Amino acid sequence: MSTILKIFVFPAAMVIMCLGVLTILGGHITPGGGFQGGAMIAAALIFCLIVYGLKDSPLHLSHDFLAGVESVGALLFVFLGIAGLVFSGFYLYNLGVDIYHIVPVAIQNMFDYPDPTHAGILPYLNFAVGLKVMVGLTAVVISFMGFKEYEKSSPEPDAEELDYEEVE
Amino acid sequence: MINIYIGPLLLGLLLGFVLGTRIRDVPQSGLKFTAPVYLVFIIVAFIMAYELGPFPYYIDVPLASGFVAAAVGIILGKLTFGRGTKPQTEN
Amino acid sequence: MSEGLRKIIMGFSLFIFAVTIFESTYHFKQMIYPGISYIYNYVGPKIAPNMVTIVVFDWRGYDTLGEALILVTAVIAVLLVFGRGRVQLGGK
Repeated sequence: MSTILKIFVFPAAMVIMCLGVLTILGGHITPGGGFQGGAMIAAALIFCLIVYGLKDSPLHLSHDFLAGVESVGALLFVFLGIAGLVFSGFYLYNLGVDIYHIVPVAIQNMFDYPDPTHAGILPYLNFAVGLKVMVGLTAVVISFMGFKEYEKSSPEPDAEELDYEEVE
Repeated sequence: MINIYIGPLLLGLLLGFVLGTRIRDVPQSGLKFTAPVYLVFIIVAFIMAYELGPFPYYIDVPLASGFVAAAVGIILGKLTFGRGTKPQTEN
Repeated sequence: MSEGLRKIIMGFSLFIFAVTIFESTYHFKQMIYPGISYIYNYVGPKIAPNMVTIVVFDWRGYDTLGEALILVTAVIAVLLVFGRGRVQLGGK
């Protein structure tokens, strides 16, 4: 890829990532939300991967990071639902906006989003889904580009090679 | 001053921090992204946030607070956990 | 069967099918009972201004949980199929 592209891509990718974060944060007011914002952040990361190549990309995602963040995103969604189950009788009950008035006020204030709209747990659910989507889409593209040369050049220790690697 | 809503600031800072820990310097490609690049990025982020405007029903500041929080979070993440130069491969 | 007989049977069944569909959609509006839509249009603007997000994450939040788990399953399946010999899957 030419030098002009390499100079331009990294700041542009950072601006696109910030726009994706803005889309995730406004999920309860504007069109957007977790899935759409996560796809925008993944687009910025894939942009950097394509222009620089897999080994020289300045946004380097290791295998542990991909596995960890994806698990955290999915588990955060499930645990918010379990919190709703513990404090009231319903799974994924919106504890910040209590439409049936069955939760004490202290817990309602704890789970509310500090915002003029007072949307309850909706922005936290958007955050969890955004994390999940961004890491999942990038993991698919990295695995298509060939993961093994990526793992060799990163500072983590290698496991021993698998036996049946006839792909070389 | 009127109270600033901390919801978008906190969540934007957290998301930017997670993304900022993944930036590393690569000397092999011949390009160096030094400190003035990130300074220009912050200034451009403030200008863009002022032009984007706040979300509806938000009356604290006349700029998009989530955008600025994400930009600051990226830079904080790079300063805290950003890796230095990539180790040379011994193929 | 011969060609002409097949064409007659196909035309006849298409006619029956078209008549059934048009007759069922003609009186559709009187057949729908809104039900919970009245309650949610009354309560919804008190929760958040965006009615689409309220339906997706609050009233049908269980479906969104299933959607998120589908994404996890798809990523795992792709990594298993295309990462053979390339991803360190652990174990011996």
